Amino acid sequence: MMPPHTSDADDVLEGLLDLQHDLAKYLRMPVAMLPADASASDLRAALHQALLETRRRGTDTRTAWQLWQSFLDNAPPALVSHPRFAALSQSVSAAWQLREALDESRPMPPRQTLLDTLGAVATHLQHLIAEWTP
Amino acid sequence: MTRAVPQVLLIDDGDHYAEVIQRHIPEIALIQPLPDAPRRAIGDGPAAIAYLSQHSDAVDAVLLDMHFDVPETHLYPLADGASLRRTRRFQGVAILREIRARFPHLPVVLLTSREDLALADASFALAGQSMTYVLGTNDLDTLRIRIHAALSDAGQVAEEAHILWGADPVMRTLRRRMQVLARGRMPVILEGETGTGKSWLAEKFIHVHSGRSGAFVVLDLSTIPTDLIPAHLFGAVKGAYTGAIETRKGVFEVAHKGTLLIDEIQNAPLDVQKQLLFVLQEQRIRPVGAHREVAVDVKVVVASNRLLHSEVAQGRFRSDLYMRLSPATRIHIPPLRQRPGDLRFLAERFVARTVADPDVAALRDEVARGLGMAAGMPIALDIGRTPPHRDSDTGISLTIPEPAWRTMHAHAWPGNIRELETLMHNIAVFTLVGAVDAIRQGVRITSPQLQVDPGLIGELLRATQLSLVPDTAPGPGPDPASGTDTAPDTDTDGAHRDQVMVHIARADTLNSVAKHVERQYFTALYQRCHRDFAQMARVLLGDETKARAVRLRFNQLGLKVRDFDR
Repeated sequence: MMPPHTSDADDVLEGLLDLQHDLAKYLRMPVAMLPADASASDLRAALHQALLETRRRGTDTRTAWQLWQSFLDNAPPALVSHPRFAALSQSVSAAWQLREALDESRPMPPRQTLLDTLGAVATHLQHLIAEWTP
Repeated sequence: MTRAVPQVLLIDDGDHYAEVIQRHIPEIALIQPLPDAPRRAIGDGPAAIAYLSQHSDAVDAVLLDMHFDVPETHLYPLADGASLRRTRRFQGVAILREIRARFPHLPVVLLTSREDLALADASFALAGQSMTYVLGTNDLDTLRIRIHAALSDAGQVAEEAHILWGADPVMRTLRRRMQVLARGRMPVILEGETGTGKSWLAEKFIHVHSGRSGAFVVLDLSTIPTDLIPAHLFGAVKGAYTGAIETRKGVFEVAHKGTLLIDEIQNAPLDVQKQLLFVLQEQRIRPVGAHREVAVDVKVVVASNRLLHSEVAQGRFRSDLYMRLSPATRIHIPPLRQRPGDLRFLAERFVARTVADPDVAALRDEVARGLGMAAGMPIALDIGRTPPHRDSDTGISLTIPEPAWRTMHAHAWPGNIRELETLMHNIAVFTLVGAVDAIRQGVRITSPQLQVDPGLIGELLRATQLSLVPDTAPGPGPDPASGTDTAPDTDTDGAHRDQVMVHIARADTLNSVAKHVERQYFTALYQRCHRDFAQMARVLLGDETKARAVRLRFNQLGLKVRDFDR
């Protein structure tokens, strides 16, 4: 579904591109930057950074969920009703769900599972951007 | 040269990369730009450029983020007047452009996620100059490899095993790529203007790094009659064609287990191209007139001074052969005019090589004796009015006046490295012969700094430009008067150019050397101008009515028209 080419549509696209950087990139990066044989404690620390310190500049720290909610607050209905949007929304929820593993009494999923779940946000966002681009 | 622990400047407005690198890549040290602040990164482009302006010597490489969420006043604009958000998103490209302009030799690794990367936007800045690290599946390993490669490039020596790489980042990239392509059996395409050193690189670098045990063999298709090309390439059995009085091996067989350079590949006739395609696919050849095929294992390098894809577009080169030659990895050697930063380094090295010639060394030693200095010292190259002090301990220097050096910088170098080598050879010889002449005639010289005649440089450079006269005539053959060679070349624009090399004997005077050069030059120009003295006069003097004067000089040089009719 191609959006109408208006300045509003351009703004939405800009917002999606920013989300790609602010949320998608930093959700995945801490785990992706670990060695393949990273320990469970290293994975847990990286997951903590990915979910709870997703954007950190100076003393300002924002969680992945805060970034997502902030985006939703400004998302126009045309975007929210886009068929691809639901998949993106589900991928963010699934990533956020991983925070249960931050509890040390819970088992830590393998690194690749974390990467797949966290990386799915970027993948769905890419699809949405591709379809939104005039 | 990088330090034992490479010092790397991270330009990033966030903290993630700094933390990761400090924790997982301990073999490099992130610079702490502000001694009072613990942060191991610098947060925006202008601050980074200001830092590098003061400390670039202390930086071995730069890691550069792409997206910068900083105030507008701390952003470099993007060239196309992009929106603020877009400018932030691609700020790394704008910063990279600034770094390239001011610190061209500094290696940069651009850090970006796959989603951020818009190659179309960044490619102009990335081409041949920086490496991009893209987030993928093995991010840490990939980042390590990219940083290591950037630092290796920075530490790359400008000269190795007879190859003058210089310091231009494009040459660094080219070297790295050639080192990879040298391995394995995939063919390699070398493209570049005449004189850029394609054959030299094929032999001295690709063959050496191929690890192959066989010989390096060259076949230049521009020097072989078309109908004999198949026999030269694939061999021929006795009686296969008129004149085939014995069975001979082709270059593919000679180069078995080694490397074969097919130079000027664009000269291969279409039917030969088809045979070449078969050989590349099947690794077998069939000598002309033979009934059996012969298996060959050859690393094939093809060189051309034309762009092969243009030859394909014009129907002169088979597209299937072109695709088989792995065009995606073709190596384009840049012309000298695109590497101005390497001019001085190359000029110095060519002077040193000239003096390694025993005849030229004898001239140098005669000058040294005249100055009361020891023989055998190297000759330096100085530029401008205030060169470093030289005395009997530091040896002789050739000093090129600043205006002449500027002229050299502005020169288009149509003959590229080979032209510069010839020029520096001639500069050294003419200057030394001038000094020797003076000493022999009792003139007292006291300074080891021999000034190069700027008029000589201008004259020698103009001689090259003359050969840019549009022409469709064949290049010159042997000099009928002296028997010395001028080397014809054809460039991407189809123009013919000449190289004149001076061979001198110890007893030669400046006059005899100059006359020798002038004779070669007149020989080449006479043929280039279709034996038309009026056209020569137009080229030489800008006035075709002065043909008589040119004819007179032609005769004074001992040249005879009838020699060219033979």
